[in-house]
Amino acid sequence: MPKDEFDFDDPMELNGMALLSDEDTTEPMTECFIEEFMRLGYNHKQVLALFRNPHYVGMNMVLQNRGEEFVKENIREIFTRWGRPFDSNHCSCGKPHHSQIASEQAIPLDSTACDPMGAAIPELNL
Amino acid sequence: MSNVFNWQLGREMDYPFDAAFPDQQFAFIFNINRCIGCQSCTMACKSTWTFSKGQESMWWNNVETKPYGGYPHHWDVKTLDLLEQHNPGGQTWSTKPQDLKGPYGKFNGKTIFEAAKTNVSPEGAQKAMGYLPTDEEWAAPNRFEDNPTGSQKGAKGEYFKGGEALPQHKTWFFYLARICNHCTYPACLAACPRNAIYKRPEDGIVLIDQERCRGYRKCMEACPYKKSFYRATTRTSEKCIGCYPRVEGRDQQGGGVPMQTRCMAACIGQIRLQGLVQLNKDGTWKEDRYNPLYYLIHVAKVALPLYPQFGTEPNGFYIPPRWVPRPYLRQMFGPGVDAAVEKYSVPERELLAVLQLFGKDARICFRYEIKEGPKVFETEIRGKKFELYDDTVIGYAKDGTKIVETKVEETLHLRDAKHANSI
Repeated sequence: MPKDEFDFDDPMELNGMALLSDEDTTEPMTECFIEEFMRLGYNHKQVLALFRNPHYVGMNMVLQNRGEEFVKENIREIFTRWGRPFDSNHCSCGKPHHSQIASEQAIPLDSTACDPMGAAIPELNL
Repeated sequence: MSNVFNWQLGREMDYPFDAAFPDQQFAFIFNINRCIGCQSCTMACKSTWTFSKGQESMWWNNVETKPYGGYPHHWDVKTLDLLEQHNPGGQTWSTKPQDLKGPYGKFNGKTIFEAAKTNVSPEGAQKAMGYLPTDEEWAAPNRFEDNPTGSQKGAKGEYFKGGEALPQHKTWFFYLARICNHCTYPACLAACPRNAIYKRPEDGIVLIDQERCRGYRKCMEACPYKKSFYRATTRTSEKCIGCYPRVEGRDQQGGGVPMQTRCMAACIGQIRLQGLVQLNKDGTWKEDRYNPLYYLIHVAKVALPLYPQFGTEPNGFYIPPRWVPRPYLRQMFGPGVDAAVEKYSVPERELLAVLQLFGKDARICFRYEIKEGPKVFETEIRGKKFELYDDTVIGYAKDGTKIVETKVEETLHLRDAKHANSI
């Protein structure tokens, strides 16, 4: 059964795992996360919110390791590639267009927002 | 030993019994690209089937973080290692696809049934080569996989402190959801000295007869996926029952038509699609062009079996994660990986529509049709032409009832805050 305390001499604790490749696959991983949620109908704000949310371990890891700029740039690129409107709240033309996230300021997202549905995120005791 | 045909290996292989195929086969596809490891499936299964005494460490459905985790610990690495020991360097494929009778080419290596013949112990040769995991290996699924708990005692209503001091994954990983694969050639069934395990002729679901089972655990040793579990309170083994009352259409929610299992229906990430497929007399899949599983596995070929080289012909299929290094994926899903990832990354018109069927309705979809919609976008993705059509896909239940109608460009509906938790 799980114990409460770590015992670093216990061979069952923290198993090392040799990887077949040390290739950094953060970029295709990020691309996949964005595309999947975009296909589910999330807009760019909601996708960015997922990356900011520490409960989405994989997505949050990308943001922590590579920074928010990297994530935003990928969102811009992938939404453009798929011809998706960048901000469904502000765009009603219904046509594919590519220019709405041309600059950093174009993601008008509150810096504390990290839940795609707008709910409060419980604070992690880190 | 009999000679049976395994279409996933593209060849005949040894199996302790003659081939016998059900009228229909329970099968499923998990899209790993979408799994966020929320464990809703795990809890749906646990709260339905394994909530009783003696079943505490039994998870018929589990989600593990690859390559770091496994339930039981290192289940796949250990079996792969045993096979490598018995056939050093020989676990290879000839990758010339041959349609329904060998869509991934031909496997040249040894299956667990073939390797078992030379794995002789004082008890004699095994029926299927395997090992019995220790109690510790079963005890703590997900432990240290990606949610380190820190070094303090837990307190109600508080997260653990100190988690940041533990190592984090700095590179790739993915979530692998697993249930029993209800294999066409089950190793658990082959190994049971009591003949207590059987495959239902009506849907191919593999069950353990609790009256006959005496808990020898040979099934646990033989199953390469380690999806048979020992229950000390009854001294018998238990396993996933494929939620057969639902598959039979006996869950009143379904109105009499076959329903998907609890784990499939509970998936919030819409990564799962379960169905029943028709089989030919030789065990290959009967052409059923508009069955979504047939399409995804045999036409689009984006969904692949888990460790086909084990030789049990599992009926669980996976859309492989796009970002994971290919050598790892080829070992896990066979040589079809490269084509599958390519197809999924730049999806064709029909594929985009069929992917919309995942997780839309709890009833089993037996047939789909697509109503063509307008082209909304056209571009090039990594040098390949990509066109997006807003088609409508319609899914039908066994009795022809329409169970889902949705568009490729699906609208996201947000529930307002006042009714966030209402059903």
